[in-house]
Amino acid sequence: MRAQHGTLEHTADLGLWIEAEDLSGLFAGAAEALGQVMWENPPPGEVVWRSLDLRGVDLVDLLVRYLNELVYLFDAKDLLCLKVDTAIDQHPDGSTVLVGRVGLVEFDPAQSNGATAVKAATYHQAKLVRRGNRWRAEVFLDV
Amino acid sequence: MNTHGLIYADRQLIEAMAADATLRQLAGVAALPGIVGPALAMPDAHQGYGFPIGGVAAFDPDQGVVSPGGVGYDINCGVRLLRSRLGADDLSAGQLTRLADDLAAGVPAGVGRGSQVQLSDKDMDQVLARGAAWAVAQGYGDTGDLEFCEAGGALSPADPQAISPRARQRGRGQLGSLGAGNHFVELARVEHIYNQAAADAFGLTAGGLVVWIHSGSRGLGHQVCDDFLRRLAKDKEAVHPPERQLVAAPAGSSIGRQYVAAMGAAANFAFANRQLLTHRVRETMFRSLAASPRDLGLGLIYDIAHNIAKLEEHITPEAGEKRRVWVHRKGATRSLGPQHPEVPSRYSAIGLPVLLPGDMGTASYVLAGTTIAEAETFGSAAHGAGRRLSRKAAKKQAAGRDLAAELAQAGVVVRSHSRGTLAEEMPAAYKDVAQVARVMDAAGIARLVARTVPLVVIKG
Repeated sequence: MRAQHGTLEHTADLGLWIEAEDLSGLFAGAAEALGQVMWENPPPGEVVWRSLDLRGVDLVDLLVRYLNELVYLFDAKDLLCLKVDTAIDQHPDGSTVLVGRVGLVEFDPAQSNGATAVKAATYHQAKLVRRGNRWRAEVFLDV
Repeated sequence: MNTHGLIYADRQLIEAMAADATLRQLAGVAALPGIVGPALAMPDAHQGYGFPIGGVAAFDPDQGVVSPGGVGYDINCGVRLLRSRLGADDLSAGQLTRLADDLAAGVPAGVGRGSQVQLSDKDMDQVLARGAAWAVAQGYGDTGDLEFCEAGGALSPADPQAISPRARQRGRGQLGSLGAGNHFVELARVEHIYNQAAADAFGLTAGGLVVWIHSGSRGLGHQVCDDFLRRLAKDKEAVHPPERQLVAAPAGSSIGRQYVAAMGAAANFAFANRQLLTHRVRETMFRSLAASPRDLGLGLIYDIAHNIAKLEEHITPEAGEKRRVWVHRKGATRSLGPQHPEVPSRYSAIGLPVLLPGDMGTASYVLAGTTIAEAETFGSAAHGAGRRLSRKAAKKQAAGRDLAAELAQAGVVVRSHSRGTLAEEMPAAYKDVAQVARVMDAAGIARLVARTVPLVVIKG
């Protein structure tokens, strides 16, 4: 089942909530939620895949790093993430690893009038918890 | 908590702060180690992430911390104000519309890139080390501009080598661009003068045309903040408060010094960015109005930072004598009174210009710094109107409306690269900037000088 996501109120910035049955789905949903903030109707183009290998001190740290990786690809490389295929591992010491790939479409910044700038995903009130048989994350973006 | 909070507000403003997380965030700042004096909230304070926006805090250089979250992602986001020799009423509606179109076409803005210059690695090092002075040396402005920038347009220490390859990559294509969000270029008319002597010193005349420019360090600064938050997350020396965005480095630690050096370099990128934007605005206006620099003037009144940490000397209430402290201003700006050594000689009898931009449909204020601010707020004041509505709520209110047409009806020509940005930045999204200005004036942390009203607004 696909992840569900939505936005949270914040006076200055913008929060995202994401829910999914497993962590891979949740991280895919987080990319989708971020992508919809950045660009409501993504530009057409060929999807190119790029591998990703990230580490975090815990799940929240991994989620924030992952979203900031997508922000970096958007801001520095003009690449918008449209697809995600990743696996997340938690180690006994709490540290976490994300390995996989992201499907990206290149855009022309000169034609980016429909886009929204995201400075970063923040650690502010960031959460990633298991509730029953679902995972839920909340993360705030600096926009 | 290690200290108390001190909030500058009237009843309505403090009620707004109580309605979101501003006060809780201020308490979090007050709990950081080595804080000197109170944790301060300016009248425009609202919920941020970690630090409240509109927050000011000072830390002891030995016992205290430097906090990337206390500076924010857009390092040295700031505003500058240019005076002109033109009367706003001298411009016809057609000329204003043409200026709006020409500025929208001539000033790179919006998401992503749009740099006016191609930077080699060596050039980038120079930008990061020299800030606005690098831009002036390349012909983007006058040497005289530098006197009217905070810190002369270049922070020190600033180490280009402390900037990561990723941050360089994000910044390389963005120098000289406005960005998006709340960044803008605005042509405005001086509508009212409150203090003639100060207005004369600042070169403001009733009915005169002025130019506001608001931008920051773009993706380079965002990446520097992210880089250090990531490093601090796993650093054993770091201070790890419950609010993770407040993670901080002991000011004297190795990573603390590295952050300061990187933040200084990113701040210099922002100073250079605003200098290039100024050059582009000047060139565009000269061309659009077929006027010479002598005709238009467009001299810099001042350039101030909003998001910054600086080692400054202040007399603190506790010590009663001057001491050096790391002043963090997160969405706040400087207010220095007459005769302060960092006030340019032209304004020495008046105090530093305190620039308070409002929303794009209402007004902005110019104030003058005071010795009261030096004594009470580590020489700090509010930086803007402060948001009232979330971006989501603003978009909801804007749904189905033609905001550009509404603003045009009110006499403001708006050009925006994004309809979404226009909705998020609609006038109703902000608090009443007049209220913020009045509170500062009443509290004595800045004195009213002039009010400007927008005529042309360019948004990212």
